[in-house]
Amino acid sequence: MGILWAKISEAMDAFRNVPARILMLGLDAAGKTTILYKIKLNENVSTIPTIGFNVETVSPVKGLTFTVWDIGGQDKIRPLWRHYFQNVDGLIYVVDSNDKERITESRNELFGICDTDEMRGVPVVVLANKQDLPGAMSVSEVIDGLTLRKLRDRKWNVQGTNALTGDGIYESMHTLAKFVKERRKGV
Amino acid sequence: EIYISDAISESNPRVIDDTRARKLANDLKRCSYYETCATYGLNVERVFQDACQRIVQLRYPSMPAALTSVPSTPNHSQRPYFPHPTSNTPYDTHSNSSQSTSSSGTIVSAVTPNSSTQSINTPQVQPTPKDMGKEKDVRVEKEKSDKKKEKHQKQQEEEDDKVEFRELPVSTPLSSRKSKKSSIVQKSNSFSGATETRQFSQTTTPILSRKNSKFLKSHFLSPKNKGEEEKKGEGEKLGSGRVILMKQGYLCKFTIIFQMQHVNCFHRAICTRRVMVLTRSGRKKYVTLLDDGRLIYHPSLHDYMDDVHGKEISLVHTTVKIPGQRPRGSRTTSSSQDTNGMSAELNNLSIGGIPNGDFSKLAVNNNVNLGSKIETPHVKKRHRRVKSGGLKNSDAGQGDDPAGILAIRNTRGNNLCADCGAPSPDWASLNLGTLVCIECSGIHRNLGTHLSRVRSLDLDEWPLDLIQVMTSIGNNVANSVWEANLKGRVKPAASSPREEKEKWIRCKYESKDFLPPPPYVDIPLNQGNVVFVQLLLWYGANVKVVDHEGRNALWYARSSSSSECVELLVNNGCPEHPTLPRRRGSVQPAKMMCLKNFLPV
Repeated sequence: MGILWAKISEAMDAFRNVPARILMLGLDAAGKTTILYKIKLNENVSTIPTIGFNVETVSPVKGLTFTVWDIGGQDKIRPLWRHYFQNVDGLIYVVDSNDKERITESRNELFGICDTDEMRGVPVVVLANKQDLPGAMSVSEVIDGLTLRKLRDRKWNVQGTNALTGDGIYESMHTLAKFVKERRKGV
Repeated sequence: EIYISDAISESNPRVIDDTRARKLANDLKRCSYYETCATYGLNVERVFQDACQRIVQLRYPSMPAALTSVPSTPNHSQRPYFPHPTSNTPYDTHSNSSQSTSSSGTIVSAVTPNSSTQSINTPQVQPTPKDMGKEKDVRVEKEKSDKKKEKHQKQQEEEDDKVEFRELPVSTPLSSRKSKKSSIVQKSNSFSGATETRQFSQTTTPILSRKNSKFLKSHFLSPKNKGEEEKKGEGEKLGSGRVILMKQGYLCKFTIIFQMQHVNCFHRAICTRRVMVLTRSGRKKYVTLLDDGRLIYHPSLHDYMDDVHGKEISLVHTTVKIPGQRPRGSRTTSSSQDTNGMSAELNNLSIGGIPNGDFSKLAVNNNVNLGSKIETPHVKKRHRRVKSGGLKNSDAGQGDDPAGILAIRNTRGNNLCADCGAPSPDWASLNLGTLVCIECSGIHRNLGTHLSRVRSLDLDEWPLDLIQVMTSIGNNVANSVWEANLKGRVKPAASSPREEKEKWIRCKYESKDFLPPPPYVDIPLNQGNVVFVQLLLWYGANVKVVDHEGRNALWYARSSSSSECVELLVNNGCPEHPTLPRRRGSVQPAKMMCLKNFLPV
């Protein structure tokens, strides 16, 4: 009986282990591509602006696989983001902490995303990236800048990161994995 | 007389080479050459005024020639580029109205050799040598120089002319009348222009037989007109009879006129004497402009001669709507003027746009610098709102449009990446004012936004203020600062490995290795030299230094009444009120701030 239960449990896990579909969005030059390949390869790749998207399957957390879509963030291609919204399990929203001038713009984009039907309830992990740069906003400043406290219909978390050293990235992936699992159970 | 040759369309960016048009103008002796754009009203007013002046001079030679003629259009080397207008207006059929360039118009004459565009030829305009001799030469000086450089084209021109003659509507009875300095006409693209001409006509043209309505039935000269003609030694008979007739010809886009509220481009018909233009539907209209401001059109020349089926529009009650402008717009700015304006701002902006002080050295709030002011998100948002409000492209050359992007690309040095020399860079550094290739842009993004803000020319929005910054600086100007002193280092090439480029870019912008040597320190604040002040700030000058009288750099900047310096200092954290704890022993004149506090890193 115990063996049977274990097998069922295993099957359930396998079912749950369908890769989670994760979107990684944010303004241009926030560091999305660098983070993606830091997760994937644990390397600092030399990036150029993303025109279109990068997609990688990563397993930052045991027992859960992410398919991470990293989509270019230039002004005119932001409207294309919404085409990736369907069946998303989680959103990684990357912010350039050094770019205080565009934090409001970033905030507007984030709320634009969250206000869509497809993204309703999708958990958000905000990465306050580029913490190494001088004058970078702290996590609490980013929370204020993004007015995240108004985001009440979903789980969110803000993590300061440095994509070059990898600081904070794994923590944020753990958080996201937790959010995704919780949401799946809830569903 | 004003003749317009218009034949500019998307597929025919410029049908008539301007040298050709100039030569034509030249051949016709007393004419000036103008380039105009009806769509945007460029130059139209000027053409008008000049034409009126000339007529007045001709008719009243005794009048003091106080009215100096307006300079005609200079050769622009840089073609203005206009954004795509909403070209699907019903009257915008084949030609010009819109796109890419201004149409070229010539006073007195310009012949369109390219019949394929269906723009009209005005062959009758060719004056006979006899005429030319008799005409007063009122050419502007400019034409002389034009003549020289166009001589070599003459042969070709003559061939073109032959072709045109073949296209002559030989059946036109009025054809012989033309090269006379007839009463004028109107090239009106603007309401004010139309009115002006009209007034002029009324005062100078004897109005005969108004009651006869639009046309005299006969084609014979009225006595008065005849006398006038004879006086000039031209015994023209045919077709000159319609005294008050100012212009006639075939008109395309008559529908516009017909609607009366949208006399879009109707100048085209009016300005050409006898223009045959196919309407959109393939039909021609014969259009006549009378000096009392009425415009009459007939389905055909035959109907005109019989005076049947004419339809009349009073231009006095007509407004001109120019695509891309508000109806009443009297705007005369061209994008080339914009460009000039931008370059005129270069001095002001070249510094404002390169505000990359190394603020970490200065221990200064690095968020307030001039560059950031220029592109606050707020501005951007407002711009977007305007666009979504449907006003996009309401002003030629403004905002996020191809013209602005093109202007950036055409800024000096912007044909090559500022850092590696790769051709046709598509990425911009907003605060450096440079264009770089995509690979270098990736490196710039690694620098952080305090050093370089990268945007895509193609994929990002470009509000006007950012375009102005970019066109004010450009790679040449920027590199004259950032690469002023290479110290023997070799700039990477497009083919260099990325590591080499990255090293170079970090040296160039991060450690600022190649800046020009620090300026003599006494100068900047006393003279309000904002360039030097900025340079000193880049070199790490301490803005908080106070002199022995408790005055700081800001005080000196104010005393030199340089608002730019004041602004720059304030933005770089220079305190309004110097902090007092100053050590008696080491007081330094604040005006030397840049000097003495030079901090080698």
